[in-house]
Amino acid sequence: MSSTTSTHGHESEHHHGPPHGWRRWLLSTNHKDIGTMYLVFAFIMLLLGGAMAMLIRAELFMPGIQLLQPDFYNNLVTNHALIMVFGAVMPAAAGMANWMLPMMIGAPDMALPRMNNMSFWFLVAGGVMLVLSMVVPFLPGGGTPVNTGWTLYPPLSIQVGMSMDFLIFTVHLLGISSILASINIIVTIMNCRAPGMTLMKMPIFVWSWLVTAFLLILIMPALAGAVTMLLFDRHFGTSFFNAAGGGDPVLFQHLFWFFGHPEVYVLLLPSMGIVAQIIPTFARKPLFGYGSTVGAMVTVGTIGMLVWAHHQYTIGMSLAAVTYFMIGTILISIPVGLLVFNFIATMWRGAMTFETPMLFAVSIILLFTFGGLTGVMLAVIPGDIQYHDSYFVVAHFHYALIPGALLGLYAGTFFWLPKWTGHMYDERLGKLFFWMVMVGFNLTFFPQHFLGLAGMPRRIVDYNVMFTEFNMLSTVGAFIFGAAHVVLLYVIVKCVRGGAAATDKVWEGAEGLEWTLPSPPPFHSFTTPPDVR
Amino acid sequence: MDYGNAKARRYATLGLGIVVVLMFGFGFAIAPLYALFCQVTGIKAAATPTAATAIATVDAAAQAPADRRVTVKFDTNVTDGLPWEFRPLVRRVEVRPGEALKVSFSVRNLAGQTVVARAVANVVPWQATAYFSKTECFCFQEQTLAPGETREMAVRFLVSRDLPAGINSLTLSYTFMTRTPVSSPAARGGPASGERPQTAPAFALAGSKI
Repeated sequence: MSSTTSTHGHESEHHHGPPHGWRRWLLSTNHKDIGTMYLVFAFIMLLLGGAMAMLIRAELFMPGIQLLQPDFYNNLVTNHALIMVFGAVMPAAAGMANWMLPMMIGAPDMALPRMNNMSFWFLVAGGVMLVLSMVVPFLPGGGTPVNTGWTLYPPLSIQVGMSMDFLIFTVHLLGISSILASINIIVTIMNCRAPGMTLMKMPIFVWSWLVTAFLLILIMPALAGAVTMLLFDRHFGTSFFNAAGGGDPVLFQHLFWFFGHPEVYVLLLPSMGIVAQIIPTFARKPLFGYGSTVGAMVTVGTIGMLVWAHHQYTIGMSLAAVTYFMIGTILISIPVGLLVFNFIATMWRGAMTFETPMLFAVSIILLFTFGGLTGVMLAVIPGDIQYHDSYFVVAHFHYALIPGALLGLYAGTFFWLPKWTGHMYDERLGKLFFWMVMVGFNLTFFPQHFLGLAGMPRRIVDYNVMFTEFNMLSTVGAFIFGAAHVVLLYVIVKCVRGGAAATDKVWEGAEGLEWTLPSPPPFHSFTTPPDVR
Repeated sequence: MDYGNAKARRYATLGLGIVVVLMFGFGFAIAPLYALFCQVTGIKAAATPTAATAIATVDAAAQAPADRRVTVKFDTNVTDGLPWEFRPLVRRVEVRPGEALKVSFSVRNLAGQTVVARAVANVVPWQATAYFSKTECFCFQEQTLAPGETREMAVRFLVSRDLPAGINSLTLSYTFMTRTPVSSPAARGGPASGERPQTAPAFALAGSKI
């Protein structure tokens, strides 16, 4: 905090710990409190998005229309995606960044604490708008629900009712929130490292967030621009995406995927950073290939910015263009493969133990690799034209994003929960949660590969009777997956309320500045800069 | 609580803010930039109308009609919210590739006001697009119709002799689109723009029909 703004009141606040009551949270500038709020918000959104997924799977248990009207079904599909991506995964990753980055680089707090507060409350405002976009169609004169899928393609998104305007402003608010958070993270990493903490000494989680934050400030403004054009086309007579006025709906697809593809790496990289912290800890060996891991993350981010149109092979691009996008996409598997091999080499001959975080980390290597493999299948043009908009795509991106993003966040939660709360979590329940997730997740999404290859289209409320058996399996799996989160909620609440005291180091093989602080850490992490070897 | 260099932090924040503003502008600049890129590098976007016309016109001048016959079907559409009646005077014709032909379409404005709209053409299968050219078309200009006005419009087209042997039938599809919204629902005899009537509640109990 600069000297001009530190009044006497601020000084006393800093010396007497956190303020009490609602002011502590609403006006918080503390990275741990804001991190906690991010995580709580993300968990609420996870349950909401998960409940929507349960409704979708319940509807798809049998062919025919049982529970949901088609428009509302498509609305659920749309908002399930938006809530999970913008409400659950990104805020959870940002919450962990808030909690861990200052502790990992030896700083007392984030570089821009008030901006930190602002980005969180923008997120809440965006979340409320997102939920309102679902509520509006039920009110008189509310128009049709957003039934476009999360890609919001025109011309359908221009024809949707008022709920689309709510969604457009949701995207603006969430965009501002993540841009502010990203600027804060970059400035913190660049300016607030402890003396001696050079860039190439930073923990991999910090590196993963540095790349992620740069991606976010490059892509979120482009998405904001795209939805702004959509808003203008809807209300102000412009024709950005309207062929009658000389526009082109395909422009929106390019703009959306210019954001949408790097967004995949925004979701993925922080979780890969978490895995890179966990595996050395439980293998009791330093990370194999630190430099190449950093290089791989930067490369993934860079190439990831340049291959967006592989989501649009069917729009009629020239052969040269699709060939470029195909080769670029397949090239990404090289740095991602490097990450995976580095993780495996770290485990090689390590003294491994399998606590819950490690179980998740190992499962991520296995399952994410599988999602990556179907990704290479989809990158190949003739294959993709066949698989396009089928359940194969649904299976692919859930195999990429659930292990690649969500399971990494679960791993991080169990890994750092003792540090955050000062209590050990219940290891038996943690393992129960892990195995429920494994059974539920694979049972849900593995059969969807077969459904897609057999020709079942995505985003449709009904399906051919021949797809019934695999859909029933998938729904049973989804309910196991959903029920697992009741266990997760119980484990977290139990751990927050009490349990065996955690040591400062928590895990035998833990290395890094964050483990030198007490558990739970003091309100301001490092008031005097620590010594970095 | 003071740590790091306050000035460095301010510069970094400002610099990143500028990047954000530039990227917002990049979204708007992407289409002109792509056009410039194509112009500089000589890349042609797939199946651009100009490219297709050029191929077929040159071809027409040089060659006599082929012996085979190809069926050309006509399909007409108007976008949601445009109160026009639009139909071809003939549904299908048989042509010899290389032979120019003229067909007519009829359009009537059902609204109580003047409406401006433009037709966008599309050829199916897309593989035939490059071999189909229109030398005269109502889709080249915007059409303005007074209330209740009916108009017959012509299209002169030509299928190239080089049309691949496997394609024996193709469809020319037109969609009329409007940029000027038709104001009152009464004027256009339909529900308000962009909203489909909701006949059933979005969430209903098991067994309900839609």
